[in-house]
Amino acid sequence: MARIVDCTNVIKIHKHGNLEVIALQGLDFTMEAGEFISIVGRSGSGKSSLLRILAGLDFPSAGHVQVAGTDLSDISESGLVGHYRSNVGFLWQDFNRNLLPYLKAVHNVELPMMLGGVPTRRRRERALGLLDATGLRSHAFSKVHKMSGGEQQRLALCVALALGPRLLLADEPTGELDTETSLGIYELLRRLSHDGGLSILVVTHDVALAQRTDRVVRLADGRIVTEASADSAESLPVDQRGMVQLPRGMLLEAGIGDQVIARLTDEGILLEKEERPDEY
Amino acid sequence: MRLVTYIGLVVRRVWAKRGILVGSFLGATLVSALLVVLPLYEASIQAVDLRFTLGAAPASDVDLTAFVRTNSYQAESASRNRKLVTDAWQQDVLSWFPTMIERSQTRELLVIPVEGQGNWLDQAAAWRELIAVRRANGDDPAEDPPAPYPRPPPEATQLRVMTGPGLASRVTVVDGQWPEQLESLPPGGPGAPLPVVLGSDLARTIRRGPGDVFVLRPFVGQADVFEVVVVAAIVDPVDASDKLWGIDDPLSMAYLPQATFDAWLGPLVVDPAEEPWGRSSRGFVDTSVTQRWFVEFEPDSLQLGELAAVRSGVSRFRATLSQESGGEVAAISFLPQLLDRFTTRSVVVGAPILAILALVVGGALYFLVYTAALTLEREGPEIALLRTRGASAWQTVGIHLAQSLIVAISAAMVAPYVARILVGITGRVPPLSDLTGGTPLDVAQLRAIEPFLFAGAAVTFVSMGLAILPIARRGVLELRSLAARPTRSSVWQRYNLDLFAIALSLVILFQLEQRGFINLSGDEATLDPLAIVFPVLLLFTGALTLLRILPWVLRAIGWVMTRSRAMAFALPGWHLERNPVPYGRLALLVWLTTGLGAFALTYANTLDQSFEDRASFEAGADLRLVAEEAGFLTVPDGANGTAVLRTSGAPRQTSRRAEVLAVRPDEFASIVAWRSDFGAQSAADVFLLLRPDGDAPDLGLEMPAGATALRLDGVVVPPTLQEEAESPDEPGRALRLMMKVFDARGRIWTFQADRDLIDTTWATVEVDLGEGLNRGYVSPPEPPLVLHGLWFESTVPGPNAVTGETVLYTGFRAVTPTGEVGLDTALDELRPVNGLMMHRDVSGDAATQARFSSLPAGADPPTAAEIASSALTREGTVTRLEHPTRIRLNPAVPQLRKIPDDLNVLLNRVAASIAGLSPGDSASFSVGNQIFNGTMVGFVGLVPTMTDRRFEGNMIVDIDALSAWLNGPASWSYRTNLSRVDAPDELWLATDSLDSTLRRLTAQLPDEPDFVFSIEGSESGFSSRPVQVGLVAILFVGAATSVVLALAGVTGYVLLAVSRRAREMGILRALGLQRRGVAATFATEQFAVIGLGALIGVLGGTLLMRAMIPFLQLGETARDIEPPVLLSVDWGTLGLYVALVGLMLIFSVVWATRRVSARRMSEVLREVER
Repeated sequence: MARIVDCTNVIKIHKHGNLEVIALQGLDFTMEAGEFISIVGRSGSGKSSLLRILAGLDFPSAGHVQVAGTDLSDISESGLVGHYRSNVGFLWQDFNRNLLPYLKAVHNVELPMMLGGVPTRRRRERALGLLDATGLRSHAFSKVHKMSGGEQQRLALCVALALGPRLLLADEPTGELDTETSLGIYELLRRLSHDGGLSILVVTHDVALAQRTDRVVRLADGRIVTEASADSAESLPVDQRGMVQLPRGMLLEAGIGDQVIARLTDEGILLEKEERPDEY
Repeated sequence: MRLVTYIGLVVRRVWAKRGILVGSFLGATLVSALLVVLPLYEASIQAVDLRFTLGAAPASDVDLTAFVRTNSYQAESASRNRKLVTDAWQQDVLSWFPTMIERSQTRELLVIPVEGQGNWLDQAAAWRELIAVRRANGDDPAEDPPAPYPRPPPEATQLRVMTGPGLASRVTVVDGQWPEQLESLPPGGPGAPLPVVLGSDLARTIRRGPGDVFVLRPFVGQADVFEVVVVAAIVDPVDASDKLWGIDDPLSMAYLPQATFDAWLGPLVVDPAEEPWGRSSRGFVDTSVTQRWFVEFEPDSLQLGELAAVRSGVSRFRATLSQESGGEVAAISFLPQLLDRFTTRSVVVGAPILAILALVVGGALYFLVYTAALTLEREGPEIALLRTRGASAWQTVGIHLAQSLIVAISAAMVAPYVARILVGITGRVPPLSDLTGGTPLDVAQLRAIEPFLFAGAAVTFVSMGLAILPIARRGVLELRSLAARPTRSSVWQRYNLDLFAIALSLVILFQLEQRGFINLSGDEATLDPLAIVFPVLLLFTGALTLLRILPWVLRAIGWVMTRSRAMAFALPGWHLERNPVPYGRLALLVWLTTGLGAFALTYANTLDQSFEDRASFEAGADLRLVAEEAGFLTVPDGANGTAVLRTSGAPRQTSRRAEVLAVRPDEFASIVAWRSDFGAQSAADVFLLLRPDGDAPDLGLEMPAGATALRLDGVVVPPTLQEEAESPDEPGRALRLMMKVFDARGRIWTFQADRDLIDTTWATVEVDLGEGLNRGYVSPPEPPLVLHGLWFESTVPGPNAVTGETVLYTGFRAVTPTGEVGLDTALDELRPVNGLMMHRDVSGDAATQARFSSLPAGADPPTAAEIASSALTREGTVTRLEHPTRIRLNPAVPQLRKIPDDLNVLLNRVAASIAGLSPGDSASFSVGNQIFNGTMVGFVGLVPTMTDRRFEGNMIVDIDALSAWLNGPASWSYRTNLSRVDAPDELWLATDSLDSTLRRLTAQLPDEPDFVFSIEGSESGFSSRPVQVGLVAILFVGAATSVVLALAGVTGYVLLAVSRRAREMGILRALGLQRRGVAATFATEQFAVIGLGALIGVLGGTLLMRAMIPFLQLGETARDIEPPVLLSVDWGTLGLYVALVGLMLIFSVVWATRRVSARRMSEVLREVER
């Protein structure tokens, strides 16, 4: 498989006035074409910074970044436009950042193609094809605000895929959706990756959803701390205060609510579900 | 295909964002409309001004008058002239002068009653009989007595005889019958009288009615030119204001039918044998006749674009008449001059209109840019989205430019209608409605508006489209973080362009002040283009300066607010203190709004004040009456009046003449309309310098109370007996005592004694102080009287001048009701001048001694007894006055006279610098024809009414002292009726009842006054100038527009500003602050900024007005207005305006903040989550 993303020793420093925040501290990361990867981590771990750099929306302070053969460390304005049109598609958590509210569904999908110079007939065919593939064919001429959240996000996916990008970047794509709809979106993404060979990089807080990707990359303090495949045992980071964040899927499966009993055993620490009084 | 797609996208965007784009559209429409309004309004106002100017001008200023003046009137030549004028009229000027009236009239003729000095007709009959007898007796015809031609009595009535085509239809016969045309002698034979028609007042005056006969005689040398006339009818005019009558009173004229007039103004041959006076011709031969055509101008017929055509038509008309008639027919028209003045005024007075409209356009443009910037700020995320979807920078720009184009074109399509409505509306609102009668202003179609529309569209397109350029190039993340970052300082400040712009404004201001706002070098006045741009530039550079300073001021305000414990003050205070830059635009908008309003109000107030000042300056006082010797009129009760004499003179007798005003200082100071900047001191302090001790000047010897006459005993020293023997036919010497006396009104009177002093005996002569030689005065001398001078004049045939005679006199005394009062000693106040020698205590027999001083040969010298008993001898001592031998043509009269003190003179700077004088300097001055010594006692600045540009500099003197200098010198006046002296022709009055005072004054005058000025009248004349009125109207429309724009802008801004801070609002709500508290917090913040903007706006608008004063300073004739225009601020109205605008803005802020803060908590918190 060809390598679609290649990050070497990437450093990103954000400046806020006199304050400097190191978002990425020498990150090394690669991704092969057709992979479906999720990036997880706490707030401030650097996952969104990485996504923005890969998207070409931001630039690394140091290091080397290559996406689909395009070197983003040193890219011109026109090169950046080409990168947006040919290499990457975006899917954001906020609907408003994905769709133009005054355009109908099909026109939203056509917009990137129009900007990319795709002839009218071809872009209409492709737009309808994408809507069909995502189950939105019947909503082609609906206004955006009349669609549900899941439909809007599927529509946003169509928009992101309109120009046939080689890499789809999604930042919390299901953040505003219920679990069932979220699972549907992830299923769609998986299908696109596995059946269509699309490379997908998803940033999420939801470990359970992350488990549905081919590979989970965990970031902490601007570095990759673990990489694991979806079916391996969890390796969880412990911070300096001794706190561990448990995957939601694991908690659900264990029936753990918002309280847990921790016991020290010979093998380690055992977490048990706390039985509560009925009236509680 | 792609283009169509782009357009589709743009159209969808425009439709989707129609809410916010309406603001841009409104702004763009206003900009375009105001640009179109510029030419439309100016032309419309000019059209109104033209109509007003022509309508208000007296007929004598706009009508064409052609005339021929001849002493040999002939029917043929009159007819020829008529055709010539009619042809030229129809050919050259008929379009604007649709009617023509013709009339011919004689100069004055005298009415001679037939019965006067005996019956003239009877005398003629008797003379004819006498001649017949002499012929019968064969007497020599050369020795025949002359015919008894009628001679005018001393007080003959004067009249004019008039005619014109169609005259009969313009009068109503009240008695008698309009006569038939009479082209030959009347049927009654050579002696039959000529039928004439009289105006009713004339008939009453001469007491003649139908059938009465009298004689008319023209002012010609020949005694035999007269005509016996009979009254055929008495008439009244149908319309007394008919132009036909001109300045004449139709009730006081005599009329003849045209054909009769034509025939009788030439000689009509008669048989001398049958003519009562034996004349061979009749008619008013050689009488001066004026044939006149009034070509009436129709003001409504002249359009603004025809000014050149009408000028040229009038010139052709005049040239044609002159050429075709060989100079005989002349034509007068003041219309070209009136139009020239109108053109100049249009440029000069119209200049502020252009400048202010430019200002309004500038304000609207700012609103447009402001709205565009707001729009773009809101569009940041969308631009980011487009960029992430692959839109290049130029594609993003293209989409926005296309959007701008749609707005610009839409605005340009709507703008002409808005412009026409705006222009029309100004005609409906005061003060312009006073001139248009409340109808919409006619929108002129003179200029093509397309270039202005194009300019409006271009400005809209550029201002909306350009703002996208820097944004389009920004990265996506940068766009997204725009809202979170503190706003950077503007490009202007980063590169100090604002400082450069301010420097540029100052340079332009300096340039304009140096070279003037109006270019007067060519034939026509033109406006310097910089002058139009300057106010806008000044306003915007001021705005830029404000933007630079404002953050610091807001920080300071914020800091003060943070001291408060109240959350509603502290929170906004923190905001203002930490991030003041974004508030600049809001403050600027408020500043522009209140600034424009303050400017409009201050402009109107300054203009009003200036009109009032100009009116006061032109009138000089509440009422100023100009008429012959008006200064001597009795001032009615309830008014204060002072006489003023206006003449010319020169300090130091330089060749450059100054205007001279002679005043009575204390009275004048209390009556003159004075403004504090006219002099360094108050009017009283300035003018009282003329009388430092406060006393009136000493003009001579004051007569005792009740004095009715003066008496004097005197004798003229006779020639010696020797001289008498040598010239036995020499007539005796007789000298008349003459006197000059001032009365209480300051009038100088010349009196003469009732009889002469003679050289044969002492005689007592008396001067009656009740009647002087001056015929011009309308009332008798008014005591107390002051004897200013006395002299003698010869009454023997020959010149009046006395040469070499000696007079002895004694017993100079006044006659009063209580007896005679001796004045001999008091007469010492008078001094002999012009060579007169005065010797006191001369022996009473000096005349006798002189007579016998040289005896013919053989004559015996007189004995002492003979000398003592001589009629030429007087007991005691007497005073001897010796006249010098007169040098031929020397006009100086030897006399006793009170020598006036040196004159105190006030000069203005120009006169003082020309003469090189400063206060305290003495020099010789000339006023009128007199030269006198004077002292410059001080400077005077501007003095009302002293605006005569023929003179260089102004002089003010004491009227009484000047009158003594001017009128005091005696002239040989014994044989003269003195009708005129250098008298004050102006009476200045302070009065509360203008009309009543004027009526009572004019009742004292024999004729209409020459001029009447009043502050009230002058002011209404100034303030009704349409251009000025239009200016005020557009200002108020501009101010109202700016308020509307500001309301829209502030509301938009607050909505956006508050929306952008939803996160903060959510946090505040989450912390437990109530909805009302949130609204109060945000509103307080906006109030602070708006308040500051309003405050600076008022100051800025007032300062801008100060900078605009040079525009107003140029008067309607492109000359500096006097007195200078001063800034006048009506703080009351201004405060009211600011309060009103403040209230509206507060309402808008409260509404906007409440609207946003009323959002549901969940919605706000969700926004926080995002």
